[in-house]
Amino acid sequence: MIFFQKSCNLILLISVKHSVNQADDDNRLIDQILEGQQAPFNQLVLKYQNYAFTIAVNILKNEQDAEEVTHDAFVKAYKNLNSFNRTAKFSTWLYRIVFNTAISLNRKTKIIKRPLDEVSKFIATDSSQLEHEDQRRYINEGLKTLCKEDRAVITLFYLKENSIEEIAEITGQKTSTVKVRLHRARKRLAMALKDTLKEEALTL
Amino acid sequence: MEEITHEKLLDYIDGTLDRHESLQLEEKISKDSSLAQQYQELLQIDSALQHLEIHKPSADMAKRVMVSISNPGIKRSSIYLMIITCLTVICGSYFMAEGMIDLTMLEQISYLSAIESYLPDSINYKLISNSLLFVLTIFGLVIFDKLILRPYFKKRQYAY
Repeated sequence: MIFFQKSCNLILLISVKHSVNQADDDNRLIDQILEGQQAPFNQLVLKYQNYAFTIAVNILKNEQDAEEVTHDAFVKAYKNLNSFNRTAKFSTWLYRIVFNTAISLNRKTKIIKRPLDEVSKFIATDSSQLEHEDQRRYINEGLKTLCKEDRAVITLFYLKENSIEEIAEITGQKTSTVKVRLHRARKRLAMALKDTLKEEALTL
Repeated sequence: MEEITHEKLLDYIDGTLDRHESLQLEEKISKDSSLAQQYQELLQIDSALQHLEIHKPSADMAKRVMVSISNPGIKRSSIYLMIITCLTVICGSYFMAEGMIDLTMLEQISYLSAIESYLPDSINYKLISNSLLFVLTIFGLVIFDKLILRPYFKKRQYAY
């Protein structure tokens, strides 16, 4: 038991240290960029482009628009880098720009909301249980039924880079609101999965 | 412990409950089958979301970003300057060709005629006006090259 507790403490210490090292690396690159070098910004883009793109895709449900948003967000981040005050992590600040840019674009385009019962028509191809691959496909379908703010919160939480407080900062909401959104979205996904499994059982 | 809601179950899954509340909840789950079922459903979703798909952008995303920050684009004021220069050249050429504008018209202006007495007679006003128009045309072409042509060809170069 004591060994287990010590192991947990060690894992926590390593993850905090990794997080601090990452922040130091980012700050070092930012200092170089502010001195006038452009090449370090390429490193930041390569480091965060996947997560930034994932956030944009899950908000917009469209890869083409997400590409545009991700590109614009990075360009905005570069232009406004001197206003980044470093009280938060660079990723938090960047994801906030991605979120705001995606929401702005989303407002301009018509959104066709899919009702929850359409998700229950998605039947896993495996006959026995949802495999990992099908789970992922199901989750992607389920996410499309949520509103964009719920999708953003779920994505930011499960990317594992952000705490509830950071997500609140990124989305411009209160911590309590983020928590409620997170719980509500997961409850909806759980209900949809239940319907899917029921329908699967009926078709067997 | 109060009634167990799905928020409480999710707090337990997220590991945000204290030790005492966690133990109480575990006991309730073990005794209540419907609560256990709810817990399993939420746990299943949480487990599935742990493998949230990370989408990757196109391979040249970083390259396109770097091109965009290297060429910040044309400022609106520069475009207005170019348009005004072009219009001035076009209108100036037209009106001069029609003889509607000529620097010799300055002779008509009374307060400038006083200055005229200090100017040599051999000044060719037509030459001066044509030279000014020529300089303005060159200026317009230089701006057009700097603002439009160079960024366009540079973008094409990086695109391929």
